[in-house]
Amino acid sequence: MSEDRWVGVGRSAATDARLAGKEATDDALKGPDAKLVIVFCSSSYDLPELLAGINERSGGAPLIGCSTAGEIATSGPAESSVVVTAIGGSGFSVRTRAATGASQRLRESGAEAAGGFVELEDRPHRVLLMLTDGLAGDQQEIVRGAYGVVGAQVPLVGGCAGDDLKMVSTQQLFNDQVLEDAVVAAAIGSDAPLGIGVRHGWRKVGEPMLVTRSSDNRVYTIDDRPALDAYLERLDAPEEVHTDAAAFTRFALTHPLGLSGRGGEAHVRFIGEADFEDRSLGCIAEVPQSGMVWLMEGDEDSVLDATTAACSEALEALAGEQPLGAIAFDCIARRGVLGDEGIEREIGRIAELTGGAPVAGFYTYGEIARTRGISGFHNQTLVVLAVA
Amino acid sequence: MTVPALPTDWSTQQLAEFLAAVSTACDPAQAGQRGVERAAEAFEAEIGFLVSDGDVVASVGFPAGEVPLDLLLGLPGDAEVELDGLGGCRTMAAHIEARAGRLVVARSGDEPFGIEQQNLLRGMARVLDLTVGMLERQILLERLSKIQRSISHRAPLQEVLDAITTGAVELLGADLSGLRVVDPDDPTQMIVVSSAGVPDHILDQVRRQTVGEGAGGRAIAQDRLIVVSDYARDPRATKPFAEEKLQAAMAAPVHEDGVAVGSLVVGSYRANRVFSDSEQSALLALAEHASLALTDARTVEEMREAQRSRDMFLAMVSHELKTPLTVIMGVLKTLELRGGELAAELSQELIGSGYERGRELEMLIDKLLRGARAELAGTVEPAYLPRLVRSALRGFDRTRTVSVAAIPDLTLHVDRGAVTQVIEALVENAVSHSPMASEIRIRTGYEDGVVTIDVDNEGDLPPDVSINDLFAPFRRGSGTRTPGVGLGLYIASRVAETMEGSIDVRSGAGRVVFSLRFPASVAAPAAESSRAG
Repeated sequence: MSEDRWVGVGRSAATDARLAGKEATDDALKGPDAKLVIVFCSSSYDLPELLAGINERSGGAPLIGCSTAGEIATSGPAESSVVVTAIGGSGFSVRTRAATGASQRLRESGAEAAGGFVELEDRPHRVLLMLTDGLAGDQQEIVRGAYGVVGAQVPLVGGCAGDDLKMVSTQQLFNDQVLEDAVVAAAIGSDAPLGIGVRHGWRKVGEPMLVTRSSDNRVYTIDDRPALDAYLERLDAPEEVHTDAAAFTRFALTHPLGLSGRGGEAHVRFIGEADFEDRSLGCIAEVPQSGMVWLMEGDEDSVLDATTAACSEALEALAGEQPLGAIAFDCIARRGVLGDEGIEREIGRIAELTGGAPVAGFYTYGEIARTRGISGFHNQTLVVLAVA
Repeated sequence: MTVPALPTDWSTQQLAEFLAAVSTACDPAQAGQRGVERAAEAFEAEIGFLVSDGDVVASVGFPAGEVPLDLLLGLPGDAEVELDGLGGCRTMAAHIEARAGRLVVARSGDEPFGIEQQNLLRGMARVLDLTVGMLERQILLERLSKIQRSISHRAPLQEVLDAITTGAVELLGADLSGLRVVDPDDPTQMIVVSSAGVPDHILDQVRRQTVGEGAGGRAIAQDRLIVVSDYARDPRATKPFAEEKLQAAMAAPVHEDGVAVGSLVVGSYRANRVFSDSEQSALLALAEHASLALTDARTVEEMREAQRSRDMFLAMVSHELKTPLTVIMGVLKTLELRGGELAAELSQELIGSGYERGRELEMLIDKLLRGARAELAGTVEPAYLPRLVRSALRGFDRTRTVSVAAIPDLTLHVDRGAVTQVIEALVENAVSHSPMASEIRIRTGYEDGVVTIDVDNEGDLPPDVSINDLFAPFRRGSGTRTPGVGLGLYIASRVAETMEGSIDVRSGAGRVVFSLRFPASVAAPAAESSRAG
């Protein structure tokens, strides 16, 4: 079967955008009949030039992609680079869509981007791969919109674009277009299984706190106190975190909130920023009012254990077939815990587990994975898509 | 720092979050959708759906446009089922009695739902029921208050009635709605005055119907709410609707002053559609507003009518007062300026004429003071025609040259006041619309029981003005020289009508002729006495 399908990954760190695009694409195009090109790149590139280089080499195969907070390839993590993944062969079919203006219509944009699924050729295995603007608002709404289109039969996978932790603006790529405030998605159908694994490795610590006022993804009060004050006090945060936005974001990366779940791992909410004026916290997805939250902690061991578990889960779902490649959506916050050396080890572990199959991915501002249940948005999590 | 007591168990926590999510919905549909999504999220289920009145009103977990309605409606509450693409699933349902509905979740795998989860789902169903009920009431209230506002802002009646029928369709999730009222000219019949969702070809067939027929007709005849399920098989159903397979209908009576004068009907084509208690109340409330609108519109129309006649009355009265006053003022002015030069006889005549007009004024004011409305038509009595005409011209012939052709020597049964009024108005009009030096000619005739009085002056009719316009109130020709409100010809024509007469106008060769015609019978003996007097 596998002669009908191929997956290739190429990377380039060339500073010239067009050249980088060409180099990475040349490495990724392992076979004929490219069905989809997936691009993860630093936002420091001249993105139209980068896309021009990629499209020149790929012959204009359907393309989705996004800017990142760091790129992942088989050889390890990197910054200021571009990673191109190509999938091709008659065993795959792909439909892509883009939806813009996401922040004003989160659910609709999720549904619109998922619309390609409706036209997707019927194959035994399908997945919807989504890349979103994590700064657009409640990402769970985008996921709900997509779920409303594809239903429970089709898993959702993907991640939120990054901007090297500047938290200002992210880009989504669609064919030759550079978009912002958008959702791009590829509905992928395959003759062979597509496996998804999800783990974060964070633990609840201490007593829960009650979200007494929140709206969408902003938390205003916790335990009836300004959310920022309650949060900083509980964590005994260093002085500069109280006043400096960048320091706060770095600190919050490794101090996420956990939401209660029925069982298994609790959902984690990444706190992106704080409003020092109204003392609220801005998260990447909804923190429900009246919900209980915990402070979460993780260490290198727990986070790496999660890496192993997520990869294994994705590979097991291939039902014995060998992976052709894997794509990792790895939360930037995990990088904060693991450090530069730790992330090298993490990617090494993924590559090891996939047994030599190429690995691509990026550091995200939020991860999408829905295989069971209905909640498909995650934070501080590693999501792995294994393609057989 | 006081920490609020924390609900620590999972169910309480989930229910609180569920409440927070559905209670912020804007409308019942959104509450339903959020409800099924949050329920599915809480139980980590892939599928969630809400059934209400035998229909799936919200669902999650199916591809867009591919919700297997029949499968869901037949899905048992607590079972193991195979679902396409999901494999084996466990289901769990909580019933919502009031809506003949249920909230259902389905989760892949074989893990059963425990008692705690069943309790939680029941709690969610209850919360959803209450929230949706609250939102429905809120929307009904908003809709009703909008209708009330449009009534109180005096929106056109049709607009208000259309808002009620459209509102009925939207609020009750019905397919069609119609508002009928009893035909005032034939109380056995009712007429559709507003409808929403009724196709034109059916509307044409049901526009007129007999009171007592169909749900709407029965609501009027029996003056109560009529609810029909299985409409197509109802022997008293309205045929065109039954043929279109209408499934359910209900009709509420519409009242005017407490009497059923119409009905508001809604109908649905949906199979097994049952109108719930709250929907029945909503229809009654809407019908009540239709009653309000109809009653109010009639009151307003009556008020407007009263206002119109009051304005008209005032205008006519002031005109009545002004005409004699003009003559009196003219007489006095002449006497003041040229009193010394006038022959005694002429002075006497002028004074006599002024006195007569003064008497008329006195009588008119008397009438007003007695509170009588200006009954223009007076009593018919014998009058000597030459005197009648000449007395009406008195005063005018002092300011303008008025030539009077021979007047038939007859005594007729006429309304003297009315004839005088019309002649005065026509001559006044002639004076206003002809050159000062020109002559005004009066011709009087009597033939076949009809009196004709022509008032003929130099001039022309405006080219773009129809005869109807000339006799419309408050119209003034562009070349008019005398002050006034443009009521003279209007009053004249109205007064002529009270005599069963008419006023015609014709023009040509630089002259305009207004002709008063009215029937009158000869009363010869009285004429003699009158003449003698």
